[in-house]
Amino acid sequence: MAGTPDFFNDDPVVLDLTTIKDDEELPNIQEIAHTLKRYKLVLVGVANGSVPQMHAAQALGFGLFNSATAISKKNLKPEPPPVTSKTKLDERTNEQPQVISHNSARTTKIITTPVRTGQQVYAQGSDLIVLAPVSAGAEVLADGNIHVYAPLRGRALAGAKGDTSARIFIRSMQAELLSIAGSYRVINEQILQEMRGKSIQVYLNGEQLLMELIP
Amino acid sequence: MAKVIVVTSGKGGVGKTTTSASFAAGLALRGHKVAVLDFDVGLRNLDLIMGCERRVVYDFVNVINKESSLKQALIKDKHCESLYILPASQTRDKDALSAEGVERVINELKESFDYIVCDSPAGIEKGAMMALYHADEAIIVTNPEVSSVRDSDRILGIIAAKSRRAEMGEDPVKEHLLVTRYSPKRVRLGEMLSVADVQEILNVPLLGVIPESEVVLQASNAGAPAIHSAGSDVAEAYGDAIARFLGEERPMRFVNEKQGLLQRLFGG
Repeated sequence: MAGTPDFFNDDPVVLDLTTIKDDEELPNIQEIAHTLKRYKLVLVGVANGSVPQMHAAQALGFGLFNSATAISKKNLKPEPPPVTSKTKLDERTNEQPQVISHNSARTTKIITTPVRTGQQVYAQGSDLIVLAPVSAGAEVLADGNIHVYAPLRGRALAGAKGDTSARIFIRSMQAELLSIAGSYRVINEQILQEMRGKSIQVYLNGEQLLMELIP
Repeated sequence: MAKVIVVTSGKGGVGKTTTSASFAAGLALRGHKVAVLDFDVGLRNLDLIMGCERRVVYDFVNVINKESSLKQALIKDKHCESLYILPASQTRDKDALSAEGVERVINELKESFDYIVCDSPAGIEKGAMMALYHADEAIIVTNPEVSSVRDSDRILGIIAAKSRRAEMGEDPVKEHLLVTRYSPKRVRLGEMLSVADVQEILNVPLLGVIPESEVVLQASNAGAPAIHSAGSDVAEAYGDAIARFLGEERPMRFVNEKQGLLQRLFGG
């Protein structure tokens, strides 16, 4: 982490309490939140804690989450019997519907200030849109697609976790290196000669990185 | 409210100390109370440029270590009434600067000065980080050539992420670009980047352009900031930059080549 101090950028975090679920002592959630903030992570909620732990977190204003793994381990309650014209309403079992958790929609990460040399921006689990220049010696990464609506002079790495369908869109091509799902191309002078300053899209065809002008 | 200005660059030898000296002197000449601090522990130069090297008794590190008071260490400038210099230590190393010590000194200076100019050392190590940490505004000194521009870009990123304002989530440090050692002739010959090129890469408002000039060397030898060489191109350029810093409008001079008589008569 010391090597990439700007790795996290106020990313929301849900704390999984599974490993301390059986502790008697309540965890100091505020302190944990402050520690995470130092690494630019924002604690938004807790999951999988014991009942007193979850209540403590809720009292402090944090959200309560059910993780997907927790759901699969619990016995799902049987569906309530269908209401037919013969069944009286008050005979229906009074059950709360199981909350099926969902990953909160990961919105596209949008950067509006220049990405300076030596800086790195990583859009984890989403697309990345950059509306300011990316300097030579800077890196922009995303698990999804990358759009740079300004000069890209540094490196862009899309599909960082292996998504081969990810693409890179560049308004003014001056990049040093481009990569999709690990297949990369160093942009040498020859390539730049044709493409410099032009608007292009980059995508993977098998193992080959293709670059096409965008009209 | 006192303002802390850092003069930094990343790259070495581009004109930070020259600029710190002339900027501080220029602000003082306009009646403001200014303190200029040398953060280059072990390789101090500011005292030479300001012409007070023979009057250094106590230095920045002495004040941090409480071996002297701030008042004892500050040296009154011989050219300007309201200008004071805090020299760096020459014998200690950079680890002698502590974050708490620097904070304490800056807060004490804020009580009686209008502007605190921090002359940063080159690089991105401790001295440079200490110099930029408390800045409200930053002057990024850049030579119009590729390595200086690259290093200036780096330091801009660091200011945006590691300054106190960034860490506390306050309004960002106000950035100013100062292009120094500019030679329009070399730009024309394609040897140097133009001001427009530098601005395009760095994306920071232009404060001024200081031309390459022998006056700078003469001024260091004489121990008087270049702004005191009245009438010279460098002095005029620094004067313009200070005026713009204070909110005045000035046309950008010294960016075009001086045209000879024949050129001017017959166009070109």
